[in-house]
Amino acid sequence: MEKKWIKGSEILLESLSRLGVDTIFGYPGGSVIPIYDALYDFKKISHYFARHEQGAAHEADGYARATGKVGVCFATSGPGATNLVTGIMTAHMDSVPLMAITGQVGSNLLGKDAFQESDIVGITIPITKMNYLVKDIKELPRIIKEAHFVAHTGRPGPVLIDLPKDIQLAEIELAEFEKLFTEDIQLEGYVPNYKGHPNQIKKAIDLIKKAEKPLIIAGAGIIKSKACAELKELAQTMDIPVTTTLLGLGSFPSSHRLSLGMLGMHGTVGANFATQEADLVIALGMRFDDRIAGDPENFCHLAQIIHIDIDPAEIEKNRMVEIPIVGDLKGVLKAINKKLTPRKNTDWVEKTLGWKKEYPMVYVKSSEKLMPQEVLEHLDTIVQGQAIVSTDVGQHQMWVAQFLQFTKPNTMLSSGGAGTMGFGLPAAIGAQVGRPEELVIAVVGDGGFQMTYQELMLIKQYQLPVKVLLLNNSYLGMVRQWQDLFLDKRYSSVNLDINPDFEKIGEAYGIKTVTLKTRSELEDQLEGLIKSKEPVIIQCVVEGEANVLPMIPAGKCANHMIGLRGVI
Amino acid sequence: MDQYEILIIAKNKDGIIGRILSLFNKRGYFVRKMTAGATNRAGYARLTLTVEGDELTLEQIQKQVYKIIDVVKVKIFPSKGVIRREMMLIKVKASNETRTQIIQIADIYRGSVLDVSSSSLTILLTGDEKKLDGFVEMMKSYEILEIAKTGILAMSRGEKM
Repeated sequence: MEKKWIKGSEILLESLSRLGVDTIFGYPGGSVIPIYDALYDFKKISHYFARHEQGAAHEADGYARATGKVGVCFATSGPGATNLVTGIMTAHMDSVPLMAITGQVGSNLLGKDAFQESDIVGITIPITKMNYLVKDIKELPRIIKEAHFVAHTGRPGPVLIDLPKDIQLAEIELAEFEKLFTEDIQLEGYVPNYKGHPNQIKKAIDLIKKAEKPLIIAGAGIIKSKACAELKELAQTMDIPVTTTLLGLGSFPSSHRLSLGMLGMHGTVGANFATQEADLVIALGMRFDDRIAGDPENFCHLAQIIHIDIDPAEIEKNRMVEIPIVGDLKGVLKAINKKLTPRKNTDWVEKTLGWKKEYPMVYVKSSEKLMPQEVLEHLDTIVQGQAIVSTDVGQHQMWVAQFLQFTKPNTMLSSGGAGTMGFGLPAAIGAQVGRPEELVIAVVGDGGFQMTYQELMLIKQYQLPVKVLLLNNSYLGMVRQWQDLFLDKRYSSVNLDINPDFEKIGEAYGIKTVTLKTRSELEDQLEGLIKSKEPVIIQCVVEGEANVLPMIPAGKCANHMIGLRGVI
Repeated sequence: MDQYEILIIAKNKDGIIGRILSLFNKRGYFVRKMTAGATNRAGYARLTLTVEGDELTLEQIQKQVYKIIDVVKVKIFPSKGVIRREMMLIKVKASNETRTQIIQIADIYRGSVLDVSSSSLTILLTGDEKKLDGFVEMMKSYEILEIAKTGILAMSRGEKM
């Protein structure tokens, strides 16, 4: 019988496909030519041709965030690989399951500064959960399985596989591949603890039962653990107000009576006041980072804290806590909920609802110009929490968090930890690919949009009905705001008066582009544009000097919050 | 600042030491000394790092290191119940007048002379940090030419690791 052979490049695609990967974002180049050759007639995977590797990484990231699946991106060696770095770092900071696969120069050229050689494994050590340089084709099936497993289990995160060109071209017998693929992965040092410690859970239950002013802080961990129902049950059973982090938006419906919205630097007054008065904080899948805790020692200073997270290294990294529980939120919350009987916290809940009522998100409307907040407020009346919204980073990102409702998990896609400008558009593209039936809106600023708008080409090429809502204030708004508030309005390199003509940009990419400048234009046209079946770029020319308020200055706590009523 | 020895056992894969040290750098931990070598299990490396920091920092170090996928064990040695040893090669200037004196001092420290030349002596010394420091102090008057240290090796007393 004639022997059948399989190449390294085919092993890569076949293994990924068997692991459930059917979508890849990538960019070809010299060191991945064999992989792209294999893709040419590999029908089980759709490849989306990015226009820059950073775009490919964010697209895979947005795909992962919106679908909960592992996102995969390809790039060539050298600059192709280093262009992925920002995207990998973004996924790392927000614990997104991402597989980056890079071509590498041939093994015989490694270390010789060959054309387009870069030590991408060395470069990405600090920003990946695990990474691999493949040295033998026989290791390839195991490495792919292992990397995929590591990416989506425990605390998810990005992994990278660097695949030299000669290994892509090498062949083994098909039968041997089949045997290698069935071999178990070996991850002796990787045993995520999913089950919380029963004694710690018991202690947490006792505290929850006793608390008079409990507060839940829900982070992205709730969404990753698919524990939204359990969170809701806990909050409703024990009548506990819920605030979320930026990436926790969607874990608990904003419209819920007990929802206080987002907390932190630009969080709601109610949420931040609640942290100052709570006697028990139940922190779920969040990490007390500086945009939330400001001054960690004084954050929730009256409260005992129960901190539940799957990553033991998050426990007491930023804030000492009374009851740490290491485990998967879904299971731990189930165990806690089982032991609780309904009760009311009327006084405390009424107090928080009072704050919510007294300090709604407000802003001063300008008589002439559109305010960025009113654009989003109007958008919210149209979509009512029924869209996937991605953002870039800066003022518009905070306004999205403040003025849009999020009612479902995996609908708020934002670079929270890394704060990556240029994330919004490619993330929306990835999300639309992964969830073609949903309305996907990229809310971007005029600064960040320019960092990755070459990816618009994918919207045209793949006929993706993504809506781009461009809030054009002709400034790098958030930096301008800091210069305004803390540096005597010394506006240093933030002015974007010299911008491209965004209508022509849209036109150049073959996408319908509309500019809205007035209140009546907004009210007359936005709904139609958002509900259109076609992709649209909606440029809203908005007031340049609007500030995001309220604000807790960096390093401070809620008692230093300014702009509680939308003005300073 | 207190000093601690951390034991790390990891799969001996390409770049594992770089991976571990990169993490120490990223988190701002100061590694004073390091030893690395094989263990009784094939394919595993044993590292002993001597680091400086407070107890809270130490707790973080332990957890962060354990997050490295190929690390299978991390342990901070307690101050008691642990054998600690370091090895040192020291080369000092030695003339016909000083040679005997140096050899006598080395004998007191149970050092052994590994190399003699007309103008130098190279001595091997094993012990805890204090002992090595004491010997170095004694040699200063003879002009030290070179010192090489292994870093601290540590092992718990008794059967358990």
